[in-house]
Amino acid sequence: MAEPLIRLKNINKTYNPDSDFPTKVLFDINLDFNRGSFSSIIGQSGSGKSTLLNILGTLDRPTSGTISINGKDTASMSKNELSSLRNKTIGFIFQFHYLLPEFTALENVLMPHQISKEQTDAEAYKHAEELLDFVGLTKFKDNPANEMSGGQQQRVAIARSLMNNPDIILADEPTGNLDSDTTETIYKLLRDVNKTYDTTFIVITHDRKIAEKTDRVIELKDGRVDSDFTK
Amino acid sequence: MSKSHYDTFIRHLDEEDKEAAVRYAWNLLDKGDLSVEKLYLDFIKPSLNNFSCTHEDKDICIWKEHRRTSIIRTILEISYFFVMKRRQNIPKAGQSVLVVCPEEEYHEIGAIIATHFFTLNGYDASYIGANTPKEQITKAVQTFKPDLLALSVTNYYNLVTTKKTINALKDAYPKLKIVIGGSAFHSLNARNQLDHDFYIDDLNKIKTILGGSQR
Ligand SMILES: Nc1ncnc2c1ncn2[C@@H]1O[C@H](COP(=O)(O)OP(=O)(O)OP(=O)(O)O)[C@@H](O)[C@H]1O
Ligand SMILES: [Mg+2]
Repeated sequence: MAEPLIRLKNINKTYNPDSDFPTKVLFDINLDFNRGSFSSIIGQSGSGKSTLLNILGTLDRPTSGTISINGKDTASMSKNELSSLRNKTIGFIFQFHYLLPEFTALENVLMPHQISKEQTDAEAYKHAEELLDFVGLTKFKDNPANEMSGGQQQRVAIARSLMNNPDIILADEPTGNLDSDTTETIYKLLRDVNKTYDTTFIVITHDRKIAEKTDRVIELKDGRVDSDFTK
Repeated sequence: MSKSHYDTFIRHLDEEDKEAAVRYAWNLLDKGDLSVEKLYLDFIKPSLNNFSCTHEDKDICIWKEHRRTSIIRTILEISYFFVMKRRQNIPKAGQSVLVVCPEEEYHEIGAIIATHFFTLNGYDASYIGANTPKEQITKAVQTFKPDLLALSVTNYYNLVTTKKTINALKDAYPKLKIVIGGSAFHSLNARNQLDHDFYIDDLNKIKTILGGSQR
C-alpha cells in the first residue's frame, strides 16, 4: 500500500511544560491519513481536537513524536521551510474565518498567493475569480469581508484555502455557527473539492450530520484516540 | 421458492400496492410455498438492498424508500403470526436474547428480522426498539437479565455510540454475551474495536451461537 500522505507517530503534547502547571493534552497519538481521504475528528470540548489539528498543520510542534507529510519528517525542518511547506501544501479553514475585514472577498482569496509570490499575475486573478465562482460568490467578489454574512465569509475562507491548490485541507469547525441549510451547502462544497482535486480533508466537527457523511470518524477522548471507524 | 414469486412480489412493491404485496406474501406463507426465513432473506432483504430509484430528484427517492419500508414493516408484522405457529414445535434453547438498535439508529428492519430468527431458533427473544440510548439498554438488561444482547447497526457513524454502549454493558454485566450485526460492521477494522462475542453477517448463523464461541 502507498505511503500515507500524513503520518503522526506517538504524538504527545504538553502545554507550558516548564511551568508549575504543565497541561498534558495529547497522549501517544498514532494516525495515518491517505491521499484523497475525507476524515472527521469528533470529541467533547477540551478533548484536544484543535491542538491536534494545529500540530497536523505544523502551526504548533508536539512535545514528542513525529509528523511526516509526503514521507518527509517535519521535525528537522526550519521555520522557513515549514512555512513554505504550509503555504504550498496545506489550506486552513477556521471556525472564525480570520478574513482581513477591510479587504474584498477577491483580495482575501488572493492572500495565500501573495504571501508565496512577490507578484500577482493575471493568472492568479483568474484562479481566484474561478474559486469565488466555485463557492457561488461571483456577485460579491468586490464586497469587503466585513460586509458579508457569516456563511458568505465562510465560503470566502474556503476559496482562500484552495488558492494554492493544497494537497491537504484542515478545517476546524468549518460550519460552527451556520444554520443547517448553509452547513449542508458548505459540506457539499468541501466534498466537491475533495472529489475534483483529490484533496485530503481533515475536519473537526460537532455536527453529526457532517461527521456521518465523511469516510472516517476519529473520536478523541481526554487526548487519546478513543475510536477510529472507517466507512 | 421460484423466481416468478419474487418478481411478482417486487412488482407489487414497485407499484407501491401495499394491499397486493401484503396479500401476496401472506398467501405464500399460508400455503407453505415460502418459509418465513426465505421471505426475510430472499424476498425482503434484496427488495430493500436493490431498491434503486430512477428519479433525478433525490428527495423523491427518499420518501419512496420510506414508503417501501413501511409496506415491508407491515409484512414483517403479519409474518409474526407464522413465527408463533412454528414456535410451538421448536425445542426451547433455554436462552434469552434482547435485540436493540443503539441511539440514533433508525434502521430497524434487520433487528426485527433477527428477533424472529432468534425465536425460530428456540430463543426467548424480545425486540426493544430503534434509537435506544445506552442507559435504557442497560436498564432493559437489568430487568430482563438476558443471556445475549444483540445490537443491530446500519449507519457506520453509530459505531461510536455502539462502542460506548458495549463498554457500559460489559462493565456492568461481564457475563452478558454481545452479538453484533448489520451493515455497519462489514469492516474488520470496526469489529476489532468492539468488544463482542458473536458477529452475525448471515442470520442462518444464529444456529451456531448455541454451539458456543464463534469468535
Ligand atoms: N495555548 C494553550 N495553553 C494551555 N492550554 C491550552 C492551550 N490551548 C489549549 N489548551 C488546553 O488543552 C486542552 C485541549 O484544548 P483544545 O483546544 O485542543 O480542545 P478542543 O477539543 O478543540 O475543544 P473545543 O471543542 O472546545 O474546541 C484544553 O484543556 C485546553 O484548556
Ligand atoms: Mg477546538
